[in-house]
Amino acid sequence: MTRTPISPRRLEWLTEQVEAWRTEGMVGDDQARAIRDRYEPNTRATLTAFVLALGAAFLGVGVLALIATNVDYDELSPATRFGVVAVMWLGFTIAGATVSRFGAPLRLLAALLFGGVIFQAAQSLNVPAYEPTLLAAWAGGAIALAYGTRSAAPLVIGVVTGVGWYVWTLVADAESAAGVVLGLALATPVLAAAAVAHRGDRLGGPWRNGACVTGLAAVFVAAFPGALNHDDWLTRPVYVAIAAALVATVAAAARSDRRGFGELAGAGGLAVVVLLLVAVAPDTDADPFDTSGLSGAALAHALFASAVFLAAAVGVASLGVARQVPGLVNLAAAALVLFVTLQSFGLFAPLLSGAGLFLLVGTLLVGSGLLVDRGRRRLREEIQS
Amino acid sequence: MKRSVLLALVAQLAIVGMVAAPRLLVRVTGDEYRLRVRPVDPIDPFRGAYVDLAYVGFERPDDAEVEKGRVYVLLRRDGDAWVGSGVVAERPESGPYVACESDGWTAKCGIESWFLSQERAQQVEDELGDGGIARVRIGGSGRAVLVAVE
Repeated sequence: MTRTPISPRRLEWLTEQVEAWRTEGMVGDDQARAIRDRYEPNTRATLTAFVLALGAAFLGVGVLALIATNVDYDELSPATRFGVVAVMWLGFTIAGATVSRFGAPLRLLAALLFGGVIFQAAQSLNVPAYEPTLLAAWAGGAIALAYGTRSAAPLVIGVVTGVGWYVWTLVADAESAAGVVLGLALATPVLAAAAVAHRGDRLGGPWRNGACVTGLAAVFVAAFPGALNHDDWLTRPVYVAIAAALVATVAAAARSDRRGFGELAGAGGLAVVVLLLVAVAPDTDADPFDTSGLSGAALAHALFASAVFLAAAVGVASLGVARQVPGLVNLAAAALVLFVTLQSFGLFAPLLSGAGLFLLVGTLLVGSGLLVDRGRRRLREEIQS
Repeated sequence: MKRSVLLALVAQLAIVGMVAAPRLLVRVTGDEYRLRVRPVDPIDPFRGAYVDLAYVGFERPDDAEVEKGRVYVLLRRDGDAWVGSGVVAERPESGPYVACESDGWTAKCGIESWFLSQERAQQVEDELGDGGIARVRIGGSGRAVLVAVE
């Protein structure tokens, strides 16, 4: 029998489904094996899809860059420019919704072009510069497209721009770095809840990746001595964010499986620990990269926060293995290497000098590398089995 | 086309409408005023070069206390154009005035950015070194939209 080539991700989904049908007794062992044997992974299609997605991303970024270069109004009126971008967006949106083969790159391009429509309209109408709500509007449109077409590609744009808008708003409104760190940490359970609500659906992926990035970023900054100096951190936006995180977590937990429950617990736990780190942070004048005058309390706080970061990175890598997402394992590895390298010039420098510092950093990096390699191998084995 | 895709398109069109409509409405229906301005020349990462306009008389007076949130800049005639003549927290009973958002220090009125090509922005900055006139349309609620700079 000739096997039908399909993308590895689709084959992975099918294998999971067939296994579920077999467990539920809908199909027998032989039937399950026969269904699986009809298909094989098609790496060439994956490569083509990757190249097309890359091309679509370049095209979309190119159009956005063209809008930002602001061609002279004498050559093309603002209304004409808006019309051209709108027609492109509409065309690619309809094409992405109707073309079945390689529709994902078209939908990715459509999501990027929707941003172009927003920015062209804002430019033509002279909406004041550096207006974060435009990014929120882009995120809203991309997310609508993602759910309208049940496609993960526009959702990636939606989550990235949505998180970008949130961080922008946090930085603009927060009166200290502690507010930004807390905001990022509290976004983690909300994003994780969105991911878990999708169960095994591929639309959960971008939300999950977003949760991992915000969680790691929050603890990354919190571990730098003096980063959490603050006067008044328990403000109204923090109460709102806590309430949102609680509601989202409870709602997702109500219909979650055991694996999803673990994710929610991890994200919620990280938010609670960061909340405590902010609450008990001792005031210090120390420069993050010159910690020679650090008090005992500030040093203990930074060391504990570093341990939390290491635990968070291990958690993200484990999630990557459990959910079979190699990108999360790579994200954890990159975050770990960056953290150890930066902290070796800050937190660890006054504790150890000369050879001792190099030995510690070397040991940490080798240990991280071995852990990540082990995670990757386990992931490969699980995918192959 | 599937119903969910149509719904997504309608949602996207609604978002574009929400972004554009308030300013488009004022641009079409508002009364036009010529305000005195001075330029600065920065860049927005998504929309390119623009001239940052500082409106004469819109600054917070040194001794004035302006609350955060919605404020109104009163306008008074100054020759053939208009300038700001004070910032108040309550909506004035009669106009003309511009509705702005204050952060306690500066009032942002939605008419500060004039988007141009890089070359034109530089030219405009040179031409308006000693100040210029901004054509601004103002709606009934005080919402202002920048139409042109001369």
